[in-house]
Order: sequence, then structure tokens, then C-alpha cells
Amino acid sequence: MPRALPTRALPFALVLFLAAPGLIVLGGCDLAEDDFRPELVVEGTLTAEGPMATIRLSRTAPVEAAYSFERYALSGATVRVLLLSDEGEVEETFEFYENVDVPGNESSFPGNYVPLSRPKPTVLPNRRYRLEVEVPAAAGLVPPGVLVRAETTVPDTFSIARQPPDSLRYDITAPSPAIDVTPSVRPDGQSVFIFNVRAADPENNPLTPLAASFVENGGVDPEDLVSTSSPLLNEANYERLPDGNLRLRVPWFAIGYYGPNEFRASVLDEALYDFLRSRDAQFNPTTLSPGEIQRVFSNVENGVGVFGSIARSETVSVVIEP
Amino acid sequence: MLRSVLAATVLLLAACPAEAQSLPQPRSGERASVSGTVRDAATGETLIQATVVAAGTEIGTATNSQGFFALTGLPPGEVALVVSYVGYAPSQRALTLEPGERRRLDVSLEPTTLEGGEVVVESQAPLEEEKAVGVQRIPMQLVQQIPSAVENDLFRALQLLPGVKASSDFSSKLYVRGGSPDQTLILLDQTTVYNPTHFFGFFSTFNTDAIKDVRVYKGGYPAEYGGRLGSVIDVYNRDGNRNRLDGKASVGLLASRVNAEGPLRLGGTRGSWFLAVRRSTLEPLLAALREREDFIPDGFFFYDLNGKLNLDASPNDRFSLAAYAGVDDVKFPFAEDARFDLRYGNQTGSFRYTRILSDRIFTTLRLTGSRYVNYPKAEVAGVTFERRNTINDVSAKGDVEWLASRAAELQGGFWGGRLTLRLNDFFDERETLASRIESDYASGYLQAKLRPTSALTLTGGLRANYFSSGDYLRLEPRLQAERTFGERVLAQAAYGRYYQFLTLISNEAFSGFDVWATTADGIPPSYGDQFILGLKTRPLPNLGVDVEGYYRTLRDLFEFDPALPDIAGLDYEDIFRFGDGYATGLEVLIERPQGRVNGFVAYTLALTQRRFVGAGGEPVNPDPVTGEAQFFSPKYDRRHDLAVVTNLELGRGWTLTGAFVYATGQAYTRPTGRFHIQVPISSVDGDAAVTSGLNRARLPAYHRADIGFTKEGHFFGLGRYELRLQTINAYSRRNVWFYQVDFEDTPVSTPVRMLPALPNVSLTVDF
Repeated sequence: MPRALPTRALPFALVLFLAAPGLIVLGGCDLAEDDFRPELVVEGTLTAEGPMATIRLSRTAPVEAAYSFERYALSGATVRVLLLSDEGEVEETFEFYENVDVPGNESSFPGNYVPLSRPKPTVLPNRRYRLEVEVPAAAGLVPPGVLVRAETTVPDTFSIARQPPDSLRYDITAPSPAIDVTPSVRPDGQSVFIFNVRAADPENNPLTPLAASFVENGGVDPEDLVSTSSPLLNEANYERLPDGNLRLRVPWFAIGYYGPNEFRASVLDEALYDFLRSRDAQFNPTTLSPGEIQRVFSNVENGVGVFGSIARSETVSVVIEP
Repeated sequence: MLRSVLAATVLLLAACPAEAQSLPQPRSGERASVSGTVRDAATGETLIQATVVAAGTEIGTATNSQGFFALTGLPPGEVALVVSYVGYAPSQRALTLEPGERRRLDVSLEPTTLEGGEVVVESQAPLEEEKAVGVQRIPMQLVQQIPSAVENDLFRALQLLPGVKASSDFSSKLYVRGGSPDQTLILLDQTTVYNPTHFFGFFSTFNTDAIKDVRVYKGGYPAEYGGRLGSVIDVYNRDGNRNRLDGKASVGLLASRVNAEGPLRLGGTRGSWFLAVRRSTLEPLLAALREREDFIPDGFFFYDLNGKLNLDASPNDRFSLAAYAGVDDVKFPFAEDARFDLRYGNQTGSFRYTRILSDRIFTTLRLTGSRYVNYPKAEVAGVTFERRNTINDVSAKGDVEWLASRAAELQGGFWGGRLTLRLNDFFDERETLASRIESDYASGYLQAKLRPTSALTLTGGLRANYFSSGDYLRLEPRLQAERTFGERVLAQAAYGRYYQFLTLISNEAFSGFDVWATTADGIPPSYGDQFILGLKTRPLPNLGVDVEGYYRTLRDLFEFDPALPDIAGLDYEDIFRFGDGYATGLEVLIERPQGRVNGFVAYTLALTQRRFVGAGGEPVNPDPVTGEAQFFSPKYDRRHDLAVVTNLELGRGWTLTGAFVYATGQAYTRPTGRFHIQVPISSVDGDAAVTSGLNRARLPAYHRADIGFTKEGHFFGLGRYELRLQTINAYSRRNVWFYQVDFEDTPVSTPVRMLPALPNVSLTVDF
């Protein structure tokens, strides 16, 4: 015969339950999510010792919208890029204009802003540039009078000190092709590379065996194998040679097509590195739970996107069948 | 706060002898005591947490992890001792004790059978012995009967308990009271297991045939344990049958098991041995799939082996040698000239010496070794990527229990060892990462349990931890108070501080690449405080209703920064993001442990929040106005969890087992917008998602029912058999695991679903 619950225990039990932190702190409902609000998107990548880049401005699109740049391009903005001194003072200002309605010019469309001066000014390595954008109030993307700004420090240039032979026999049993580059000096740490291989004549050359296997068995579009890129790779991955140069190895699997291929190494500035690593983490998470999408890191104040810079060097070899 | 708690602990410890002496009890010469071991009568296995009670008194205790008990403060004269354990017929022994007598009494309990009628065994155990704060026990028989995919699994069963969550159908990892899996210390025969998974996380390494007992400390765990922020899973393997040779073979669709055990005689000493082997039998399935599908592994298998030798050199001296080895191995050619191989696993070994110094002093010394390896290797067009990741942990551990009197029990011990973590990455046969962390660790603890009155129990403990990687010394006070109100109500409160010197680099969906990392200079240990209130009731003899509320802090958390694409050349402290958090919840457990219809209902109301600042100083989930890191819900944060587990004896050897789970949606990030960025590096262009905050949306609610039938009987007179017919997700609800976002698809966001209905059949035969 079970005994009854002692009545003198009940008040204590009630107090205990009322004091339980769970009941005080917890709410029963889950968090609501904010609605979509369009933001300004900035795209601009300066190349060391290259002509001043085009700046593209647009709006973010609702996630399920059919996207094209033209549809979301932002017209009517005032764009300028400032060259800064080491102390942060403005040394030079480059005004931009929106390159619209120029017949025959394929880079002529709304949202595309190009430097006013001709020839285009050259981007200086190891220098800091600031982008400033005044957004028309009618766009409703930033409060009136608020400037959109972003800064980048252009990486040091580097060059190819030793390139692969002009003709390269595809042989996966042999060591991967090597390219020696001079260092791109970065005072605050190591450089970050992206290595890219681009088939120069894919129409007239066959796929390499691994690429063909991906196409035949994996349903990969051959077009996607014309250009392949490495992930972001720290300089420490590469062999440092006695002369101070770096030996970059091009893995055989990076070559999608036989024939002429362009091998290009790029060094990224901090802003582009942050943007790309955070964007990659959105859809290729390593330690994140699936569905846990982190934000993209952006150096753009009052907007998203990136105003960054690179230094790059390239060479060409013809990859021949074994 | 810490200072006052420390002071209270010191006072409590200092007061221990005085308190014990001040109790209004007769001089020690007038009271008697009984001590001994409780065993299974059929196999001779010691029983952990069996209860021993002097009938008609409030004097009772429970056996320790070696099955030993000491009941002190007994009045001389006629005493009836009742020894009970769930699943066994209680044993009552009438004793006549002389004043001051110290009686040795070893008790064997007969397992109960439900065949031929219901046997209800009323638990005689005092609530405070049976229901420690934060502790949960689950009978191994129930673990084996709960329907499961591929194999019966301990961790899958634990995920049904209140306060213990699963992240998905594909993962056996345990998320206990808002903690990530690395915040739970997993012990097998008191040896740390670093990757307790098979099948890349689908189920745990523990072979249920080999397990004798498991204790789950969900929170507020005692000073005896340390090294993790949240909880402890303490698994003990079986010692083996001391009475006769026995064996069991089990054939399943996807895995099979065999085990054997028997008595051991060595000279004049007795003991036992146990050996269990399990191996997957997926090869026929993979071969059939390869004929129809691409990208099926060439080979995949896992196996594990559990072994144990026990020897009783004398009634008071016992030796034990235990070993575990488990491996998962996959070979996967995924294209021409491209393959991926992975081998990972654990090995553990322990030597244990137990000595009963007197009827009140019990000592244990252990030497343990644990090794975890994980060797992934990919070879693509002649280029190799290879990782060699190993952990070696060797340690010595000692514990002393002094059951001084009914009013005072003392326990102390140490645990020290060396932990070596190696991580080497190779690209194209060139080493790109070489990391070796060697850390000595040492800890010592002292714990006192006092009973100032028959209704009140106070337990205070202090644990000191030293970790040489970073040179950290930390103190962990622990306090518990329990007050009974009659025989059926127990109120509990507990506080504890906990430190953790390790962090796990892992993935929710795949445990095959798990890497552990440690504190170092500039990376202090994580720590947290836990506060627990509990109310345990037994309104009916075979019905328990328990409620526990908890609040815990998580501070100085460090975990691998997921936004780092490459760690080569980075300083060690630059690969982590740092943060803090908190978790709180309320758990209700209603259980009917025995009877023709038995089982439990578990409900959890919980909230977990975290915030982090990335390795580059960027807040992970910034406040839109201030830009500072704000709290977010980790994916496993769910507000409500309900589990109903029932076992119904149908008669004629048939049992029906059902498990129903309902959980409100997990957190995820729903992209609200998108944009496209052109970069003058070919094929780096791409889409990016705009989110309005991390994990602010919720997946649809999860629910699933698993049903299994078990038929027990005799196999042509040769032995007993057990046939299991089970279906996972009986009504095939396709619960959403996450939403896959692909900007080249329409719609952009599509659900990735979890397991459909899955049948499972196994046949087990005793020999």
C-alpha cells in the first residue's frame, strides 16, 4: 500500500519549483527572425601595378529572388577612391563615373563605376586606398548623408623566378610541377595565396583523366573545369628556398585540360582574405553544424561586399598527354 | 562568490570529525557494522549501486563501483538487512550482531524473470542513495531493448534521458545540459575515451553486451571526477561469469557480435574473464549498392574488442586487467586516380588493484592508458593529402573511501598522467603542419559526506587540478545538500565549479576527423559554475517522479575558429575563437522501473546561449547597433524535448518496446538575402548569403516513434535465444536535418531530411 506524499513537504516543493531557474529564465517561444532589408553591395578589387579597378555597386536581393547584377545594380552614386599616406592623410583622389549607355562597350552598364582619368591610374603596391561612396537618398540603402567607406592595403608585388618548362608532360607518378616565386613581403604576417590554373584552349584539347572521370561519373560540367582554383593557402604551406623564394607546387589534379594552361598565383590583402574565408565558411563548413551559416566578413562600412586588393603573377605552359 | 564557496567548503571539511563526534550516538564500541560485496547470483558479477538497508531503520547505503558496501552504526541485536537492485529479487538476511561487531557479509542476488507472471519488486532503497543529484542510471536491459538502427547503442539510449540531447539521427554524440560533446568526460573502466564513436558518429563504441553498468552524471558531478565542464559518463564493463563458462552470439543485418566468459582459476585464487568481439557485416550491402550506384566505398568495416581478466588474490585483494580496441576503416575510390581512405579508432587498457583495508576503508589503484588515432589520407591524381593525428594518455589514479561512520564518510584520491597530442599534415608528401603538445596533468581531491541529522546529508569537496600546458592550477569546490521529507520525498541543492583544459575540433555530422586541442600560454582553461535544485519523489513504490532545475555558466570557452581556411604557419593561440555562454533548464522524469509495463517519460525545458569573438577579433554574431558579439543559440539548443519509453511484457517470451520522441525545432540560420561578388581571380567569383543573425530561425519540430519486438525462448534445447524485430521511425516521418542553400537552384533553400523508416532484425543465441 503506497504511502501518501507527506503534506509538510508540499510547501517546500512549491517553493523549490518556483525558485527553479528554468521557470524564471526560460521562455516557451522561439526567436523570431528579422525580415529582409536591402543593403548596398560593394565590389572592387585593386591589382598591384594594374590599372585602377572598376567599382560595382548593387543591392542585396531577397534570397529566393532570381538574381542578376543588372537587376539589382545601383545607379546614381558618387564614387571616389583616395590614395592615403602612411599617416592616413589623403594624397590623391580618383573620381569615378558610372559607365552607362556606351554602345559597344561591354563593361558599360548601370552600377559599373570606372575611373574618370585616362589613362587609368596605376595601383601602387604597399599603399593604402580608401573607397568612398555617396548613395542617392532615393535608394533608401543608407541614411541620408551617411558615407559608405572601405579601405585596403595593396599587397607587395612578387614575380616568377623559375617557371615550369614550356612543355609539361602530364604524369601523376612524377612530382607535381613547381613554380618558384619571389616573396610578397607582408610586414604583419605571412602572405595568403590562391593558385589558379586556367585552360587557354579547352575547345581544342581533351580533358585530363581525373577531370574526364569527374565529368563522366560525377556529372561535373566540363565548363567548370576550364578554370580551377586552390582554397586560400598560407605561405607556410610552401617550401622556402635558400634564396628566400617560395616554391609553389601545382598539384596535377588542378589541371583540367591538356594544351596551353595559364598558371597564376595571387596574394590577397586582409579585406579580401576575410571576405573569401568567411564566404567559403558559409557553404563549406568544417566544424560548424549544417545550417549554421555565419555572416560574411566585410570591410565595407554601411554596406556589404568587399573593397580589396591583390598582387599576382602568372606564366603559361603547354600540358601534353603522357 | 568563489571565495565564499571555498570558505564554506573548507569549513565543511574541517567540521567533519567534529560533526561526526557531536552526533548523539552511542560510543563506537556499542554499534556494529556490516560490510561486503553484492553480486549477481548467476554470474558472480559485482553489482554497482545495489542498495543495502537495515529494515525498520533509516540506515542504508549503496555499493560502490566495485560492488562493495559498508553499513555502519547498526544497533546490536537482531537486524534484518535488505539488499536490492533493479531487475533482481531482493535478499533479506536476518543477522544477530554483537555490540561493536564488524561483520563481513557477501550477498548474491537472483535475477528476476517476468515469465509466467508479473513480479513487482518494491525498491527498498533510501531515496538519497538511489537518486543522487544530477545522476541518471539506465538499466542495460532497457538499453538493449530500445529499438535502434544497425546496433543497440548505449549513447542512443542515453539521448532519451531528460537533459541529454541528440543533434540528429546521424549522430550519437551527447549534448548534456547545454554542453557540447567535448564537455562530457567519457570513461570506460575509469579510462578516458577520446572518440567514443563508430561509423563516423552514427553510434557509440560501446558494445552493449560488454557493459555491466553505466552512470550518467548530467551535472554537479562530485569531486571524484574532473576535467570537463559539464558531465561524466562512467561506463563499467562486465567482469565475466565467475561460476560457469558462458557465451552468446548475435547475428544482425549490419553487424554481428560474439562474447564468451567464464571462471578463472589460478592456483588457489578465483576470478573471471570476459571477451566480446563485434564487427560490422556491411560488405554484402556495399557490394549490392556498388552494382547500382556510383561513389560507394570499396570497403568499410568497424570492429571492437572488449576484454577483461579479474582475479581475487584474497577476499580483500582484487586485481583486474581490462582492454578495449576499436577501429573504423573506410576505403573510398571516388574517381579515376582519386581515392580517400580513413582509419580511426581507440585503444584503452587499465590495470586495477582494489584492496579492502578494513571493513570501512576501501582503496583502489589504477594504471590506465588511452590511445586515439585518426589517419585520413586522400590521393588525387598522384598528389596525396595525409593527416596523422594521435593522442596518447597514460595515467595513474588512486582513490580511498573511508566509511567512518553513518554520520561521516570521507573520500580522497589523485589522478595524474601525461597527455601527448600529435598532429601532422602532409601535402604531396611534404609536411605542412607539425604539432606536438605534451602536457602533464595532476589532480587531487578530498570529499566529505556528513549526515548531521538522519534527514540531512551534506557533501563538500574540493578538487585541485594542474595542467602543465600553459601552467594552470585551478581549484574546484563542490557542495551538495540533501534533505529527506519522509521516505518518499528528497530535496537537493548542489553547486560546483568545473574546469576544462581540452577542446574538441569536430563536426556534428562526422566524427572521423576529430582532433583535440589543449590550453596553452594565452589560452586559459574554460570554466563554469553549476547550480542545481532537485526534487525526487516516490509517490508509489514502483513509481518515481523527479524534477531538476539547473543553471550553468560557460566561461573562457575556446574552440577552433571555423572561418579559418588554413592554419599553416599560424601561432597556436590564433586558431581559436573565444567566448562564453550559459545554459539553464528544467527536467522531469517519471519512471516505472519494474513491472509488466515499465519505462519512463522524460521532459526537458532548456535554453543554451553562446557568444564568440573570432580569431581575427571579429564578433561572430555582432549586435547591429553596437557591433559587439551577442549571444546566439547553438544548433542543438531546443526549447522542449519529450521522450516516452515503454516496455510491455506480452507473455510467452514476447516483449514490446516503444520509444517516442518529440522535440521542438533546432536553431538554424535562414538566409534572408543574397549578392554576388566578382573577384579578378578566375573561379573565385561567387554568391554570398546575407543573414539577419546567427541561428535565429527554427527547424520544424522533430518527432519519431521506434517500435521493437523481442522474443525470448529456447533454441532446440541447446540454449536460449533472443529474436529482435525492430523498426526505427515507424511512421517514416522525414524530419528535417537542415536546409541546404544553393544559389544555383530554385528554390535556393531545400530541406535535407533524416532517416526514413528502417527495419532491423537480429538473432542472439546463448551457448
